[in-house]
Amino acid sequence: MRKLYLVLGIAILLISCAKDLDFSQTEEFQLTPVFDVSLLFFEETPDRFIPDDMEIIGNFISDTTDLVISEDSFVIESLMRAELEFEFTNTIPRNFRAEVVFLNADQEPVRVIDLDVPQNNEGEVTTHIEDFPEEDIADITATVQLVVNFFLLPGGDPVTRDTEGILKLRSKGTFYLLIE
Amino acid sequence: MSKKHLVIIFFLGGVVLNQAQNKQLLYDFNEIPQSLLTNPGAKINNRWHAGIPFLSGIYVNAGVSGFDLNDLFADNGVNFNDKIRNILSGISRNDVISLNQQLEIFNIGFRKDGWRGRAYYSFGIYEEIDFFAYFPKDLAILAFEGNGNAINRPFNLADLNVKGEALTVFHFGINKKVNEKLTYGLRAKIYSSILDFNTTGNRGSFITVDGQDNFLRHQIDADLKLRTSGYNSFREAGSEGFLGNFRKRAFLGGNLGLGFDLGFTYEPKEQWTVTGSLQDLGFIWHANDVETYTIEGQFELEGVELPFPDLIDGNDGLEENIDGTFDNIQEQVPLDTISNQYIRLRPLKLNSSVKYSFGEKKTKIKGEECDCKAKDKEYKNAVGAQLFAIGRSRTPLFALTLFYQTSLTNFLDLKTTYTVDKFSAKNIGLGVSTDIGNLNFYILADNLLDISNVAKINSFSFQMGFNIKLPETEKPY
Repeated sequence: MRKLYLVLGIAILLISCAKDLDFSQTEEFQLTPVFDVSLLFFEETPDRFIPDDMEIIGNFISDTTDLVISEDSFVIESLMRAELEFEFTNTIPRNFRAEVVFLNADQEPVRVIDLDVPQNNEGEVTTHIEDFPEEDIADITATVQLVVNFFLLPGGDPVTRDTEGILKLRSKGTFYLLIE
Repeated sequence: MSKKHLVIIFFLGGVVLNQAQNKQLLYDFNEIPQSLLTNPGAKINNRWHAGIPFLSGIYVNAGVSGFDLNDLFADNGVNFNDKIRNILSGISRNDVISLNQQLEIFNIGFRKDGWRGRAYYSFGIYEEIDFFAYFPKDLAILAFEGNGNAINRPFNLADLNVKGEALTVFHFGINKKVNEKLTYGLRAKIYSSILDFNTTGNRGSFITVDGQDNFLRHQIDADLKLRTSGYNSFREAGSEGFLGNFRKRAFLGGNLGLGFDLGFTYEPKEQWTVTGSLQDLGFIWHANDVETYTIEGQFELEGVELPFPDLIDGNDGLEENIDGTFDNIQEQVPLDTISNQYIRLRPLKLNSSVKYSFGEKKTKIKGEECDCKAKDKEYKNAVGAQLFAIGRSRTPLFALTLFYQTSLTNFLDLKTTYTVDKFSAKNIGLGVSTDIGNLNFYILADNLLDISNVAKINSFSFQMGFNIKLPETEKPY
């Protein structure tokens, strides 16, 4: 019997020690994924965005969109930082400007992104990276509507349906999340 | 907070709690009546036995391969999240987390036709919980790091491979001694499924590649299926009806199955013993309370097109396109809930052993020294090897064990094992069975080398229990 107690005693002693572990580290636990997501794109020739025989001038496109993402509280709570990248190709012989306006629930603009789209016959691209650092992330998370405007800047030949060239946009967002 | 806990529980699910139901210590340790549950053809030497209800067999077995507690919780100043990242980079999609727990409700056995009888009957009920998961490596990397900097890298959705179940097993076994050389046995089982879920046949991938119209193209190709049985009834019963529903499903009120254990013990010549058994050769038919969730389809996305012509016309072009994109995803890769019956095979277990017995012969009766009758008794010592295999979703898991068995006194038997398997190459186990009067107490535990530092442990199994046991005597009773 003594032997049995000895064996059991040793077993229990051995079971009871776990060395140098710190379980409170779980408090530090966090996921910090980074997601690259495709956003808007288009590639248009003038005959596609000029109605009939009209010539376009000034602010020829303005579109307001409700953002579905603003209803997703998980994304809103987790989003820490973001970068949006816009790349234009403009071989139409005129300069354009694009504008993306972020509107909050009170219809107030919280961020305006100005995008110059100069002509470039060689097809060279114009790239703009819009940064939303941690302190400005509310510009995205508070946004419920997005307005996209396109302007034809003055100067040069009129743009008609017969004008050669393309206007092209590629864009993506890099979203930094913190999930605790 | 809840997400955090889920992930941590997932990581630790296996850690705290061996190696996939290998009962290398119990197998062929015939002083313990429960060895009949690992081999119905074990050579049993009792007149009868009765387990103390709820205390006759308490068993826990857990294992995790690929990392240990120390990797995760060492107090070494390394940031916890960096530790997780290190584990993630080192772990394989074939690393596993396994948990198995069993509790005997009762277990009774008796020899038919008294002490000279050749047939030993045993029956009982036990409850079992089994959880097994391959490490979902790619999904974990996607959650921890995202797809940023992972262009052209496919994330394999087949990495999601998890199954779990809770059930009650009603069993009845016959053990038949044919002659001095051969004993065989058969155990019939009725499985009463309490809860079952499995998502093991998944296929598909998520990948982000360079796009044509835009910078990036996201491609998803999914064929995912999660089958559940019993979950629906627990959801409807709520917390108030939980116990009632549990009791009902545990006692044949849910989905049922049928299975068999087979086994033999053969002694080709004096001192040599060969054994083999198959456990849980059976299935459960999940016919009611079944819910299967599927996500199936393909989808490619390069973003949302800004439709100039529609905008010029003054239509809500972009918003429509965004809505359309989301609708399209749901249409192309729909989440469906269906209620199909399904059949699940029980994880089949194989055990076999070769044993050489030697030394003096045992004296089981107090005060009686080894005498002329001793030649009918067993040798005090034995050495041998055992092989264990269990069927799992991808490939079977194997374990090889060397063992030494001895009777220290007429009431104390020991078995020590050295086991090599996926989880560890130095797993030492120790089992003790004592007979004090008619009370049998046994305790079995493995991974004793690592147990001095639980932190380094990859797997662990523990079993104990109390039985009332009347050994065979040389005299009629």
